[in-house]
Amino acid sequence: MNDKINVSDEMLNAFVDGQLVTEEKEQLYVSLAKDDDMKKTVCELRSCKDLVQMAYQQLPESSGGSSDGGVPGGNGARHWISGIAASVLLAVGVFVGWQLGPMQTNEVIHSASGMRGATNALAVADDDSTKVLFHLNTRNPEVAREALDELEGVLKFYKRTGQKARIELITNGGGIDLLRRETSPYPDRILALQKKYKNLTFVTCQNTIDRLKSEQGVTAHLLPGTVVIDSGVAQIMRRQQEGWAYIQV
Amino acid sequence: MEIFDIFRRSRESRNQLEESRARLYRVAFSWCHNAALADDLVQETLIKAYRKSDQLRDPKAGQAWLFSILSNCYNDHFRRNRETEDIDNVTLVDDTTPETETDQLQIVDKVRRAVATLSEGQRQVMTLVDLEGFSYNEVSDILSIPIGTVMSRLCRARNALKERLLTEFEKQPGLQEAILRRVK
Repeated sequence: MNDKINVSDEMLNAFVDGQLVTEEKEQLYVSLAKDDDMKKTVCELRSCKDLVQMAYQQLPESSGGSSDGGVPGGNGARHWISGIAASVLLAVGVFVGWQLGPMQTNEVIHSASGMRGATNALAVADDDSTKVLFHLNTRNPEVAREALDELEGVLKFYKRTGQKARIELITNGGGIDLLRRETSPYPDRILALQKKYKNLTFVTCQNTIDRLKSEQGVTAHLLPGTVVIDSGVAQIMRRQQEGWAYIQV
Repeated sequence: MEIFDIFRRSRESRNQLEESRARLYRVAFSWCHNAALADDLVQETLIKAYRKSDQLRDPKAGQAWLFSILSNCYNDHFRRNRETEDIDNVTLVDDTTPETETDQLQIVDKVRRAVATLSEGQRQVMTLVDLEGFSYNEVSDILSIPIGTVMSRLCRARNALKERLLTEFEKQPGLQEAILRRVK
């Protein structure tokens, strides 16, 4: 902890809001890896942002709004309540993940025997490598591209500097589209990244797959090498218990 | 052809304005927490935008331009009503989230109440960044304040929310039960 670098709260907010240039981000990733307090602050800021976004997903109906105007009315109540529930669980869970302390660390290893292709990457992180968890929960292709850009930047940085690192991109909600064969805007890039970086894992959430099936009747076909995990939220909490830096894109 | 172009541009700009209604309403509501007032502010914004649409030089800046009009309408409203209605005392109105419905909705209510207690400036900056994803530069233009002020207001707003919300949620029971059951 002697390597702590002073980073202002304004800078951390800018990091959370994606307002930093690449060089600044790289420096912050390095600082985050060394500073648990800073990781916690970033996580809290991200949780605040998530909570605010969640709180205004559903609004009292605008009388002048168009029928498809994005201010949902009462007819979709069940749908948006479940959406809010997921958001709340995610935002609160991410924060509470910090508070849980080191426990429940072995279930992943015990149950990972059937996993394809990414066993090493998903094993419990108890080595001295830097661990960064990226989280994508939107289907927006631009945001997905930013996620890939960011994780590739981090991978390149650690490769260039000869440091050990493990990177995981976890997707849930709309983010799963990035890893679905039918919808992924960047399948070739994902395969190329997997080939090039053995320390990179793409993960998605079984709950999201189930929800796609039950709500939209869609069967998700995933890109090769994608790891499926029961709950994205649980995985995020677990990773944070294990000391992973958490970055939501 | 020019006449057709004028009609086409006019129709396009009208459609764009209409598509922005929901976004404007969301931000207006997050500022005032009053559905009727938010609706009025959006109507006023769209009318002004439509009248001034020929003043918009850079179409890419259209959204920021619209929100700057909303900000002006919002400020004008409270300037007009300063004697009768203090922005810091606006009562939180929420027609669709009765407290008893679900725990999730209670949390929504708590977050909105926490946002409503922020200062006007902090609330405006935070909602433009968090709800609409505007960059700090764009927020600076929309609200006509320096970018440093944007950053400091945002920082204070989130710190205040952290204090109010996260410590409270941390104490809620049941949040530690989500455990990983299986990995394929």
